[in-house]
Amino acid sequence: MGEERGPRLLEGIRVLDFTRYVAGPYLTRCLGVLGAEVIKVERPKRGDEGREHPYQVKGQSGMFLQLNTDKKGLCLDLKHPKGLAVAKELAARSDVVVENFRPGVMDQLGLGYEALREANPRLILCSISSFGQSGPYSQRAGFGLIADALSGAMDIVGFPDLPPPIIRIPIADTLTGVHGVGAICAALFARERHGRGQWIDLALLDCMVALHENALQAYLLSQGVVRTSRCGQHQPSSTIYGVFEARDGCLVIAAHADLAWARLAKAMGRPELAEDERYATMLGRIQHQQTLVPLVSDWVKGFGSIRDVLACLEAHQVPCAPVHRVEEVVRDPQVLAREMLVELDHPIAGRVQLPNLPFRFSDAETHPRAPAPLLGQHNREILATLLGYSEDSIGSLEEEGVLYHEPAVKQAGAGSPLPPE
Amino acid sequence: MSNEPLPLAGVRVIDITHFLAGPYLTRCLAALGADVIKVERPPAGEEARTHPYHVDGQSGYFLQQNMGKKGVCVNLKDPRGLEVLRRLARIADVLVENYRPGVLDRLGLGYAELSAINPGLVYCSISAYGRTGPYAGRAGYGLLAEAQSGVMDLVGVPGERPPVLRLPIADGFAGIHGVAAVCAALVGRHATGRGRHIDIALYDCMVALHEFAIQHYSLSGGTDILTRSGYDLPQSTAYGVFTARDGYVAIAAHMDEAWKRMALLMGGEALAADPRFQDTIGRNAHREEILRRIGEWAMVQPSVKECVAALDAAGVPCAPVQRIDQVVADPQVRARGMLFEQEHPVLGRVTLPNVPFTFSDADVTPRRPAPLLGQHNREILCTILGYSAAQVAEMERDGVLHAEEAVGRLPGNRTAPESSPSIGSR
Repeated sequence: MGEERGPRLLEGIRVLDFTRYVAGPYLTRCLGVLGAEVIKVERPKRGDEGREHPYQVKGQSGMFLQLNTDKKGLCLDLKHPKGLAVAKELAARSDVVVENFRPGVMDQLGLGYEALREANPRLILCSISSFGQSGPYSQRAGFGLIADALSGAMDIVGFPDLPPPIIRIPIADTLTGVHGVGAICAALFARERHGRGQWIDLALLDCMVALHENALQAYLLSQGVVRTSRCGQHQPSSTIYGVFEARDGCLVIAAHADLAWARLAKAMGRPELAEDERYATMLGRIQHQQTLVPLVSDWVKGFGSIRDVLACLEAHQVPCAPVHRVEEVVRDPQVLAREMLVELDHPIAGRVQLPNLPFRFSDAETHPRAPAPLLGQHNREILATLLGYSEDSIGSLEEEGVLYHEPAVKQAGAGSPLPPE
Repeated sequence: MSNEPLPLAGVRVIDITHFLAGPYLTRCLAALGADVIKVERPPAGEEARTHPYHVDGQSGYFLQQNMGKKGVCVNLKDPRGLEVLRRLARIADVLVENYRPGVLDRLGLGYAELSAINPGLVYCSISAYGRTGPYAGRAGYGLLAEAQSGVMDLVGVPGERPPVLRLPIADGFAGIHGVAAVCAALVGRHATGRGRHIDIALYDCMVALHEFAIQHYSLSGGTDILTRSGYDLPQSTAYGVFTARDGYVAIAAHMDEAWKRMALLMGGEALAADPRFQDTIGRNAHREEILRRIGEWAMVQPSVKECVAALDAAGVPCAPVQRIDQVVADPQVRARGMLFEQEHPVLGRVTLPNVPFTFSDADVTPRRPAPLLGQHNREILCTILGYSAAQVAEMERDGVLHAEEAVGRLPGNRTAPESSPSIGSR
């Protein structure tokens, strides 16, 4: 992994992580690589539902492996009074608790903000839910899909004459997770000064509403006249800005600014188009999109291959990119140079290659230190070292089913890689 | 909400960003309590001021991303303008920029120079491809990062063209990762007093967004290649969008319990007990049949509204695919304060989307609208940097400082600089 780039920024911060699926795990994964010690609490015997998601290698989920690097695994029954007691002891010794249960569940468990704050006034609790802790939909079940649909995001992606396609990337979950990282770090910064924690309430729907940069403000400021909907391959508010088809694939061109448009006209061998009064200004190009876009489309189709189009555009410094398929992404020299793919040795799955996080600091290491934990991998370490439980009491908690670990933990042995203390 | 200080109260941010990723980042910092000073160039100001929707010459796009900030409009090509920025950087905690890598270095405003005069400065650079790697110097937009990262290839109908993603996914993600990185660097600064240079790339953020496609590809040894799948997720049946008589409905009946309820609703006990559909593997194997059944069920309901009512009653997670007008009217969006009104000095009352942070002891509702171009020139130069009124007047006359015409008409700003208690020295 090379030399450390400097001390990690959240060194010494302990995070207790009750999250599942994507939004919460992405959040705590970020805190983990930023230097926090993350203890992931999972239920016996299935653990995080994310463990059931494909791609599966030797019973280990690729999605889980990706979203849970740099965490320690504790598998604990919160419905058992002894398990709950362990969770409360851990919360009292933590700086941050993150959860994405449905609103109210933490209270029912006795782990609500009031109870946690009483035991530990410095604690920062971050709750993630589909709709938030308040409002009429608060108790509704939700997933990213539902936030995509309700927020209007789905209605503005796709072709006007077709139903809206599913957005096959976890925008709502991940966006909420990163907002949580920002909010928690801001609360940690504030705590240094006044010593008190906070309860942070994040909703997938809120984050998706905040993502609209055009649709909502245009609707609101035009008093409902401008109603953005899906527009196919070309952004109506920017011309040329969209997707074009070559003989063997698609590419995007962003030549909406005057200079880039003039360069595109030159690349097309038609520099006079940039002088044409219809197309000389951004507003003119938008107004004449119906005639201008076909000129560019036809020009693109005249090339033998997507590679030739891109080479011509790049030679003229017109911003462009191929619409990559996933196998092209993982070979892209920029992706590799930025270390956006990392290799980790997992005790069961072996050497796995996974996407990295996008945090890069001049003087702080953010490379992952350990693969995702096996279910219950660090039960003993956490209870013995952190909470001072004896071997006997840990053994009896295991027998009572309060603690659980997947069979592979024994197979992996005690020497499995752990984040350094 | 109590009157506790905001989390970033007392943090001063210099914002030399434009368009979206950078402005969203600093907007979030402002909402979290930082004093953000947005630096724009004369005479046009930030490029986003040309983006629609326009009301009385003010851009709604700009208003949304720049609320909560103060504005100074200064010519960095004039040595006096450059000196203003260097003085601001000396007393700032954070500087955020999204120029093409190298541009600020050439102006003498790179991390090396500014950290030499202010070692505690957290300096956040956002660019399309990052500051390293073979594409580092290339121009880029969100569209390019979305295409090149494989994200665009995952949206749309197989065999059909991929649509443009009419949401600023790459910019939004780069901006919020920047918020997280800046706040983490502020926390890390406590230990040593040192700032950091943060290098955020739109492209990196899009690659990190893949939770399925890349790990499927790499863990399967390159045999399992995901591409767009139309209206549902083939690995999570039934999770998708269905056509009703008057619109579309999203249904998440992919978990065992939710599927049983969906099946019971559509086909009674017989369907709910059908052994072929009892787990994810079975449902995925019979995806076409399940999608067809749900599609038929949706089409025989009178409307989207009644689809949702029936699914709600059955306990199946669902939602109407809302148009923008429906989003604005949504009671949950309203109850969460995600739309709020503020008073703009030129436009009067405007309603805009909020940022999605909610704290128990901090009210992050924006405190001021986006600045007019050059609105706080005098205040910032005189009050914060200690320039004399005569120096400011000279710089205004020479065009080093610039303010749009409406600034002169603001009450209290015709003669004396505005005084504000919220911006103090740390």
